[in-house]
Formats: sequence, structure tokens, C-alpha cells
Amino acid sequence: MLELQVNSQEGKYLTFYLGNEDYGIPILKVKEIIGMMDITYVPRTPEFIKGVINLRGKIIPIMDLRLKFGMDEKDYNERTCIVVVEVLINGSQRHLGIVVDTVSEVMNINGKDIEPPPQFGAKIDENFLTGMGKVKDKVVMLLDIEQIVNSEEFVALFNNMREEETSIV
Amino acid sequence: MFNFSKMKLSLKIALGIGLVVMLFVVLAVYTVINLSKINNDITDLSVKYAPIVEGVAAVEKAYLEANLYSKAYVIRADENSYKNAEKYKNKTNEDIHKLEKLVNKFQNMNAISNKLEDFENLLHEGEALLKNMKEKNIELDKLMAEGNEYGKALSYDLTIYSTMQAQKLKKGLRSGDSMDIISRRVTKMLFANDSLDLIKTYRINVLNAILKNDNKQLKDNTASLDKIYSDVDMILAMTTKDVDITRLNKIKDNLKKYQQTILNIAQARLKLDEIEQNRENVANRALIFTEALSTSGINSIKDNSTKVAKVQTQVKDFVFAGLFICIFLATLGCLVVVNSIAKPINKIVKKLDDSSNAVTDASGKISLSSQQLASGSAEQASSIEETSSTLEESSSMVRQNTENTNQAAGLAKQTKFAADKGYAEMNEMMGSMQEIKKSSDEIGKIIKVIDEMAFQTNILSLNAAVEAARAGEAGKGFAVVAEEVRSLAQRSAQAAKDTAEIIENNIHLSEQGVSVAQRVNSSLIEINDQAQKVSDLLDEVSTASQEQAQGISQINNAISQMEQIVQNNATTAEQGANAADSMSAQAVNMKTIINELIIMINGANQNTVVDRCSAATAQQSKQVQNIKPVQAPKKDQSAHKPVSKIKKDLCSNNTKVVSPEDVIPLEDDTEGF
Amino acid sequence: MSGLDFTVEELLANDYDSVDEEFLEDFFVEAKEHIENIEMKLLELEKNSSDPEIINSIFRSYHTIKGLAGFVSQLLIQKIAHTTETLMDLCRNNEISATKKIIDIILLSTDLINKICQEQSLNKNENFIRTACNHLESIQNVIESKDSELSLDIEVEVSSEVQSPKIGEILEQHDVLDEDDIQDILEKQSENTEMMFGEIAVKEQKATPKEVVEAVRTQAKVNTNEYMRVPLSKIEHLTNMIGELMITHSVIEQSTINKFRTEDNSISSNFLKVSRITKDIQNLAMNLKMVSLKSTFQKISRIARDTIFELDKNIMFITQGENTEIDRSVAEKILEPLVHLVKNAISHGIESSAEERVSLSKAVQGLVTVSAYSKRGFVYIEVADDGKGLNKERIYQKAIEKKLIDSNRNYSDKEIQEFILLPGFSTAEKVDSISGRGVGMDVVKTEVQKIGGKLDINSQINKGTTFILKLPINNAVMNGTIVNLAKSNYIIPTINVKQIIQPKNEQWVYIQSKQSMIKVREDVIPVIDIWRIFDQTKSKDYEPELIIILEMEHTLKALPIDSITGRQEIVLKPLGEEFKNLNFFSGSSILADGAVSLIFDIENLFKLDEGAL
Repeated sequence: MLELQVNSQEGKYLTFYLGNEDYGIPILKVKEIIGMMDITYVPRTPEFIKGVINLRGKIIPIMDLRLKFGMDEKDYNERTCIVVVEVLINGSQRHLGIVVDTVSEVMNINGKDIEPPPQFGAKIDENFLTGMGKVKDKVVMLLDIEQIVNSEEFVALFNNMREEETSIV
Repeated sequence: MFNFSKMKLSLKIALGIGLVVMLFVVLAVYTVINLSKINNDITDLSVKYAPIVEGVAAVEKAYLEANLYSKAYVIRADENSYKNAEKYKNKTNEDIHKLEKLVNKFQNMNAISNKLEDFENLLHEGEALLKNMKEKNIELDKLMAEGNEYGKALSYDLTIYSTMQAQKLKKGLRSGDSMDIISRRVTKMLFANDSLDLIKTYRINVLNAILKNDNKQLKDNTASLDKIYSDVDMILAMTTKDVDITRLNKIKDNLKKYQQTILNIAQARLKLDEIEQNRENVANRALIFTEALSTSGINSIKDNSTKVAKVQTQVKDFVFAGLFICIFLATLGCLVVVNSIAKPINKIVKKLDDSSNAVTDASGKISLSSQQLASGSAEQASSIEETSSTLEESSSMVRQNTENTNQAAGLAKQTKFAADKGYAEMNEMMGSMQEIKKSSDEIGKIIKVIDEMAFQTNILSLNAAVEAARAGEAGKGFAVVAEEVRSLAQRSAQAAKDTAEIIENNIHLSEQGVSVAQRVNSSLIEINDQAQKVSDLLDEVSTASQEQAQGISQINNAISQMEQIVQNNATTAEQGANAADSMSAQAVNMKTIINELIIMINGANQNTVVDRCSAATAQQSKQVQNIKPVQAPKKDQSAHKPVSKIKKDLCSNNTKVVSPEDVIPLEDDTEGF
Repeated sequence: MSGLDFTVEELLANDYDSVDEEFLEDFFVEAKEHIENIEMKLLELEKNSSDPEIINSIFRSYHTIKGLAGFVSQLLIQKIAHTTETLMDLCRNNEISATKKIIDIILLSTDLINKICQEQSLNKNENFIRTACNHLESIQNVIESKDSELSLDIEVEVSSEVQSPKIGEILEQHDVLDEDDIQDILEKQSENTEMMFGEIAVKEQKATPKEVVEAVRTQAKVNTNEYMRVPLSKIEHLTNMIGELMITHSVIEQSTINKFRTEDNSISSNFLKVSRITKDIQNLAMNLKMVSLKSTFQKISRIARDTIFELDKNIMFITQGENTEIDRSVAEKILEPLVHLVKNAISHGIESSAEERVSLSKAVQGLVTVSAYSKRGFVYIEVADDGKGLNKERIYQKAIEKKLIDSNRNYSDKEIQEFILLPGFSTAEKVDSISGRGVGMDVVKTEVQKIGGKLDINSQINKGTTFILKLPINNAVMNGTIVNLAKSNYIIPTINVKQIIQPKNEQWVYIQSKQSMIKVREDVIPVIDIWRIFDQTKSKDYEPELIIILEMEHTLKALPIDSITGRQEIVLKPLGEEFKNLNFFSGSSILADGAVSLIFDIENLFKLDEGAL
């Protein structure tokens, strides 16, 4: 699956909104979409990690994408959704919830409609983007979710923790 | 009696008869009183005197018995006699008490009662004496026994003494005492025996004396005892032995006592005799009293009987005298009365006849004038009727006026009602509009839910799309479905949004509607107020009209009352005529009766008077007949509306018909209302 | 019987009863799975006889069956499997082609094995053995001649009656009938085949109807006792889901009962029923994961024997309470610590020489006992020796030497005893293969703590040492105290809660104007700076309502909290890789309201607190 994604960006994307912008995640990364629910705060985590939820008996961490992208924090409402994604973190398949303003649709984006991400001027780190999809009259920013999750900040947190652990035990 | 002639006839007769009756009554009363007196006396005889006499007899009898027994006691001095004496004394006492009671019942018996008291005193005296006697007798008996005792003791002592001396002598003889001693002893014995004999004799003498009731002998006999006394002294002188001296002293002592006792007895017996004497005295006095008692009883009976006989004779004489006087007085009275009645009656009948003629004339005249009065009343009634009808018309005008006003008021009310209704409906409409708004809100909520659902469906469809994508080739078909579901969800979301807008619009419009309705509502309220005012004004007018109508109806009432009065007048006049008629008829009748009276008083020979009277009557009846044609139509009229009928007749006679309008100018009048 | 290296008599003489019933059951279950696999593969082989992978798979299955059968003394199965395996080996090497005949032979072998698995008594059935031997002989022939056509046609006839004990046998077991009676009845039955054995027995008045009915029941029971292998992961998933079900249930129950409390009693009573049922299901699921300590103890016995031989000591090793049940995962994890303890007991606990023991007037033979028992929701495993006991002075010296402890402090005997659990502590001078590397005891302790257990030492000099392991029956469920701290709920294992107090002003001890300590009676207890650990800034006027005193390894620390929310049985869930490094949380649990709560790992919390200081 991953190979497929790497080879070609063409495919289905789940699109969602953050503010007025459209973002897309490759649909195969998506596990499911759920409404907002109570999140248990976990101390000693970065700001964008909102905590954990109980997803049918599984405890999964929740990341607020707005905060991750340095956008203003927004109160959650009934439109706010959590997109549960399957990602590889440090080589293992993990589930992670991403808080988005609201989900939009699943759309097929042809390879010819995808342009590489701009080198500068984008609101968010270009490393997080795989490209810009043009569908109808909209531009969808295609996110590299693994890149986001494995970004330095995130990894640094975990690594830091791991070190701590080893030092104690 | 001086004004006897002025008195009523009946009174006169009554007086006459009453006088006679009174006399008889006086007589009868006198007789009855005297007879009852006699009767009383006779009753006295039987009830009063007879029992007294009887009682007196009983007392006498009882006393005699008592006396008898008293005497017997005096002689026999036995208990039985005493008791009987006592018993009869008591009986006498009882009888006396009975008699006393009896005597006390009646008056004028003081003589007897006084006597009875005296008698009673005597009786008590006798009783006391008897008792005294008894005491004395007992004392005597005691003394007797005592004396006997002493006597016996004396003889006994002496006997013992002599016996002892004899034995001593015998001893002395055997032992050979000195002669001196022996002789002394013999002397002593001789004296003792002598004394013994003396005592025995004395005792016999005493008994004899008592039996013979000879007190003197008893007293005298005591002297014989002195001899014994001296004998004993002699013996004493010779005696040396102490024992003997003592014994002899004792004998001496006893002797003394015996002597004294005998003397006492004698004295007692004397005393007894004395008491007996007294008792005898008293008894005799009592007996005299009893006799006197019975005598006085019998005497009073005798007195009474004579008294009765005397009264009887008196009564007989008086009754005869009274009867004669009465018969005489009655005859005299009758004559006076009859005379005094007959004379005035004749005078009255004559006057009666004259006046009855006058009455007949007058009655005819009254009848005529009554007739005239009646016709006048009828005319008055008709004119009142006219007034009444005119008033009625004006009243109806007023009524119509009121009705119109009422109608106008009703219309005003209807207007108000309509305005009210409009107001209410407007309110309802506003409520409905609120409802619309509310349901619009609800719809809004529902739409929100739908929207929510659409959103959820969208997420679901996205999830489905995710799943489908994961399924790869196999999920392609499913992806299409998911896409469709998603588009559906979106469409429903859109539809929900559109609906929400429409609803929003609706809410806006209904709000506008509400404001318009509110304006209409305020206008309606104004209309309502105006209508209310009109209605109120009309109500006032209506009230005024009603009051007017009421005034007219009051006038109407007054007129109809007047009508009533006039009618009553007519009727009264008619009745007056009728009464006049019947009066003349009665006058004729009276004439006939007077004639009859005259005949009764004067006898059949007084014909002339009767004829004259009948002629007068006939003339009068002729006059009455002349009035009759006027009376007749009146009598024909029905009882309900006599006045109106007459009025009609009058109207028809008048020929000129007057319409009510002419009489009351209506137009002018209405303005006044 | 030419080609066989064993005889029928040999097979008959084999002792089948020495093996534990449980192992046997396990074996049968496993064997059946393999047989199923073989049958499936054979069917594939029929279609595609040249696929080496299929033949390989069949070979492996037979090989496994052979190995397992040897372990449980199933000689006959072992022989069958071995012979068939040899045949398969030939096939694998293409020396014999897998013809239809060969497939039939293999199928027959599986049938035979299957029959034995279902009916153990066949092992004693001479006829059956002979049939099997014949079959094996024919296989042998094929092997030797490498000609598949040389096999014999053998019919395995085992009536269904053979599969379950006969009524007659049961009645005989029940002492109702003797052999003669059975013989009589069987004769009668052969005359009148319509009638059942029991019927005749009743008719002949050999047995009462009741006895017969009972016997039939016993027969039925024996028939239904079947086993099935289920992957552990499935069971774990099941337990998890049941835990989930319980939580969801209580969430629904709370909201529903609040809503309908006044209206309908039946709802709450039904909810009660449901929760009972769920609880039962949970227990059942927990029970699915429960195993006895038998296999663990057997392994230990083996190691103990080896160790004793190696050290050449005269020691008797005894295990007790091997039927005590424990969570499978716990049982697995406990093995290594136990091995350590037993080895320690044998090498260090028991005196090295017999003379030493004699001088202490102890039996020449040393005694090491491992005993297990369960008590109040915990399983205790004791490893006891009657040896020297712990030499406190030496331990103390050693600890000082190795700079493991503070030499300025006075330690109690118990504390000194526990020094041996410190990392890097080993008193044995020479390092051998058995013990003395200095990692043994602290590994033991860590392992035991990892599964939520506790290790206690009870030692008397020259009398012996006893290590007591207190283990949770399962490590998924524990009792937790829910506390509210900074508006979130956290769970503290109740086992670590010593006391909850309402602090008074005078109890606080300030260091650098911070509430650093709290005085509780005589003790001054350090307060955990939870804000620093949480990486949060504490609002200045924050005054904790309560102080919860935590205890871990005789260390007390105070944790300021806002309130106590409750105390309940909680199902521990791992927090996930992402938070694995937040080691002061041992995991999370889902509370009755469906919310997730983090569970404090007290040991790491203490350490973190100390580290931060």
C-alpha cells in the first residue's frame, strides 16, 4: 500500500478543512473518521498532543493539526472531527487521531492535477506536503501525515522519553 | 212607682209579677230558716244531748261500781277489791274523758263540763285516799306480824328460862343445894311461869281486839304487860348469873318492844278509820255529783224539746199570715199593669199609621232622584272612556318609540359584539401566529437534527469510502455507493439548509403578520369603544322612553280607577233606586201590618183607619210605576260593562264621532317626550 | 512383522498411565489440529501431487506429532507417526511419488492416530494394535521397496462403541456388575440384538434402572469432554472486549438509570442482571487465560535437578500446590524469576558440605521447596530452603563495598536483607554458570514488579531463607483509587495507597518556601512535585485539599490531590507506543463514564521525583 502511495500521488484523498483551507490525506492512511469526544489530557506532552481517547477499547493519542501547523486554536464544535490515521511511527504501525475542523469528502485526484508543493510561501512546512491537488476550482493541500508525525518535534519528544526511561530502569 | 207610666210595658208586667214573687220568696225564706232551726234543735237532741246523757249514765254506773269495790276493800282490805276499785275508777275516768270530749264538741255545755271537772277532782281525791288506805293497811300488816313475832319470842324465852330453872332445880335437888338456893330458884320459876301465862293471855286478847276491830281494848290491854314487866324485874333481882341476867334483859327488851308495837297497831288502826271516814265523804260527794250530772243532762234535753215546740208554733202562724198578704198584693199589681200597657199602645198605633203614610210618599221621591243620578253617571263614564282610549294611543306611540330605541341599542350592541369577536379572533390569529413561530422554531430544531444526521451520514459515507478504498478493487462498487450516500447526505444537508432559510423567512413573515394583526387589533379595540359609547347612549334613551311609558301607564291607571269610581257611582245610584223601590213596597207592607196591629189592639170595629191607609199605598205605587221605563234598560245591562254600554248609547245618540287624534294633538305631544 | 523394530507385546507393555492427564489432553488437542492439517493437505496433494510444500507440511505435522507423542508416552502414536514420517520423507525426496495409494496409506495413519486420540483404550486393544502394526508393516514394505503398490489393504474397524466406555464397563467400575455378569448379558444380547445392554441388565436383575441411567450419563459425560485450541491473542481480545463491554454497560446503566429511575424499576433490575452476567462472562474469560502452575513447576523441577547434579549437592527438591491457577501471562513471566530463586536456593542457600549441615544438627539432605497457594485474589509462590540463611553482616559489608548504600545510615535487618535485591549485588565470590553474576536478584525483583507482584524475603540465620512472591492472579485487573488532580482523573493502584489525609497548615514543612514535606505523626514525608513532573506551572494559590500517602518498597511519598473520586476494579490498558516513554504512567483504564484515565506507575513516579530533585 505504502509503495503505491510513494510511486504515484494519484488516488483517493480524504479532504477536510482547517480554517478555510482544504487539506487532503491519502485515503489509505485513514482508518476511520469519528466525531469529537472527550479527550483525556496527558501531562508532559507537546501542546498539539491533546491527550488520549478510548476508541472502542483502544487508547489512541490525539493530535490537534491546527496547533501542529501553528494556527490559532479553535474551540471544538459538533463539526469538529477526529480522523484516525494509521501511520508508521519509528517503524511500527500506530493509530493516531487528528483533530480537524470538519471533514469534507473523498475525492479522486488525478496525477496530472497534482503539482509539487511550493518551495516557499506556504503557511505550513513544505515538508509536510506531498503536493497541491487541483480539483474543480479548489486547491487541496495534500499532507504527508507520516512526515508530520515523525517530524523532529514529535520524535524528539519520544526520544527524550526513551532516554529518560533507560536512565531510570 | 210614681213614674210607672213611663216604664216599658214588659218592665211593668215584670215589676208586678216580681213583687208577688218577692213576697212569696220572703215567706218561703222565713219558713225555711225556722224549719232548719227546728231541725237543728232536734238534731241537737239526738246528737248532742242523748250521748251526753248516755255518757253521764255510764260515768255514774262506773263510779258506783268503783265505790262499791272501794267499800269492799275498806272492809276486807284485800287485793282483789282494791284492784277492782282501781279498775272501775279508771273506767270512770275514761268515761269522764269521753264525756268531756263530747261536751267540748258542743257549745253551751259549761255547766256540765264544770261539774265534770269537779267530779273528776273528787274522783282523784277518793283515789288518793284509797291509796293512802292501802299504804296504811300494809303498814298495819307489818306491825301485826312484828307484834306477833315479839310475842312469840317473849313466850319462847320465858319458857326456856323456866325450863332451865327447873333443870337447875332438879340438879340442885340431887346435889343437895342449899335450901336458899332452891327456894330462890323455885321463886324464879314461879315468876317465870306466871309471866308466861300472862303473855299468852295478852296475845289472845290482842287477837280478839283486832278481830273485833276494837281499838280501845287493844290500847288498854297493854297495861297488862306492865305486870309481866315487874315479874321479870323480880326474877332479875334474884338472879345472879350473868347469862340469865342477859337473857332476862333481853326478855325485858322484847317485852318493851312488843308493847310499843301493839300501841302502834292501835294507832294505825285509828288512822285507817279516819281515812275511811274521809273516803266515805268523798264518795258521797261524788255520788251527789253524778246524780247532778245526769240531772243536768236530762234537764237540757227537756229544755231543747220545749224550745223546738215553741218555734214550730211561731212558724206556722207566720206562714199563714204571709200567704194572705201575697195573694192580695198580686191581684192588685195585675190590675195596675194591664191598665198601664193598653193605653200607650193605642196612642202609638195611631202615630204609626200617620208616619207610614209619610214614608210611602218619601220613598217614591227617592226612587226618582236615584234614577236621575244613574243616568248622569253613565254620561261621565263615557267621557272617561274616551280619555282613556286617547291615552292608550299615546301610550302605544311611546311604546313604539321605546321599541325603536331598543332596536337601535341592540344594533349598537351587535356592533360592539362584532367588534369584540373581531378582537378575540384577532387574538386567536395572533396566538396562531405565535404557534406558527413556535412550530417554525421546532422545525428549525428538527432541521438542525436533520443537518446533524446529514453530517453524521457524511462522516459515515466517508468512513465507508475509506473502507472501500482499503478493500481495493473489491471495494470499488462500494466506493460508488459510499459516494452516492455522501452526495445524498450533502443534498439533505443542503435541503435542510434551504428549509432552514425558508423557515427563517416564514418566521420573519409571521412576525410581520403579528405586527399587522396587532395594529388591526388596536383599531378593533377603538371600534369596540365607540360602539360601547353608542350603546350606552341608546340605553339611556331607552330608559327615558321606558320611564315615559311608565308615566302614561300610570295616568291610564288613574283614569281606569276613575272609571271604576264612576261605574261604582252608577251602580250605587242604581242600587239607590232599587232600594227606593223596595222601600215603598215595604211601606205598603208596613201599612198592612199596622192595620193588623190596630185590629189586634182595638178589635175589628176600627175599619176606617185601615181603608184610608190602603188608599194612600195605592197612590204611591202608581207613582213608582211611572219611573219604571227608565229603570228597565239599566237592569238589562250586563254586569261587566254597564258604564261602557251606556257610554256607547250616548255616543251613538251624539252622532258626532271624535277621533282620538283630534282630541289629543299627538305630534305636539311627542316632542315633549 | 519383519520390518518393524518393535513388537505388539512391547506396545502392550508400555506404561500409558504415567503421563499427566492434562498434558495428555493438550497433546490430543494439538495432535488433532495436526491431523486436520494433514487431511487438508492430503486433499490438496491429490490434486497437485508434485507440490513439495504440501508434502513438507504433512511431514512437519507428523514430525511434531511424533515428538509430542514421545513426550506423553503415546508409544503407538509415536510409532505410527514415525513410520508415516519416514514415508513422507521419501516422498519429499521424490524417492516415492505421492500416488493415490500413498495418500490412502497416509490417510489411514491419520485415522489411526485420530482414533487413538479419541479413544485411549485402543492402546490396550490388542486387535487394534495388530491392525496398526499390519498397517505399519505395509508402510515399511513400501518404504523398503519404494514401491507404493506394495502396501496392504487394511481396514481399520473400530466400532463407535469402542470410542466411549461401554455401559458394562462403567457398571463394572461402579461395582454393580462383575465380569461374569457382563459376559452373561453380552451372550443374551447376541441372542437378542434388539435389546440394549442396560435393558438386559435390568431385565436380568443384575442392575437397577437407576444404576443404568447413571451409567449412561457417565458415558455421555465422557463423550462430551472435548478440547479446542484457541490462539491466546483471541482470548486476550475476548477479555479486552468483555472489559470494554463492562465499561460500556456501566456507562449506559448510569445514564439510563438516572433517566428512568423513578419510572421503571424493571430497567434497573434488568441492568443488574446484565451486569451480573457480564461479570460472569468476564470471570469466565479471565478463567480462559488461567493455567495451573504445573508446567512451570515441571520446568523448574527439571532445572533444579540439573542444578543439583551439576553442583553435586545432596538436596531434595519438592514442589507443592502445582494446581494453583494463575493468569497465563503471569505464569510465563514468573518462570525466569523462579528459576533464579531456585538456583540461588540450591547454590547459595543450602550449605556446600554435608559436614556443615551435620554440625548444625540438620538432616544431611537439604530441602528446597517451591510451594504455591492462592489467597485473597493473589497467588503466593514461596521458594524456601533450609540452608544457611542470609548473612546480614556480609550483605551489609558487600553493599558498602559496592557503594550501593549510604554507610552513614542505620538499616534495619529487613532493609539489609533486601539489599540483595539491589542491582549489581552479588555475594558469591566466583562467577559460575549458575549464579553469581550479580544480576539475579534484581532481575527477579523487577520482573515480579512488572507483573504487579511483590517480593518478600524471610530469612533466619542457619535456619533457611524463604522468598515470597505475591502475584496478582491476573495482571489485567487491579484495584485502583481514582483521584482528581488538576481537573483530570488519575488512577493510583490501591495497593500503593497507604493513607489519605487532610493536611493542616502546621503539617507542612517548607523548604525554599515550597511545600516540600509533610509531617504525618512521627514521619516526615517528601511531597512529590507533581507539577514539575507534569511539566506544568502550578498556580500559586493552589492548595491541595487532600494528601495521598503513597507507599512503594517501604518508601513513603505524599501526593497532593484535589479529591478522591472513587475506588474500583480497573482493567489496565497499555497506553500505547506513543506514550511508552511516559513511564510514570503504567497505562490507562476506561472508567465508568467512558473516559480514559491514566494509571500512575508509583515506582517510576518516585524515581522521577527523586531524579527531578
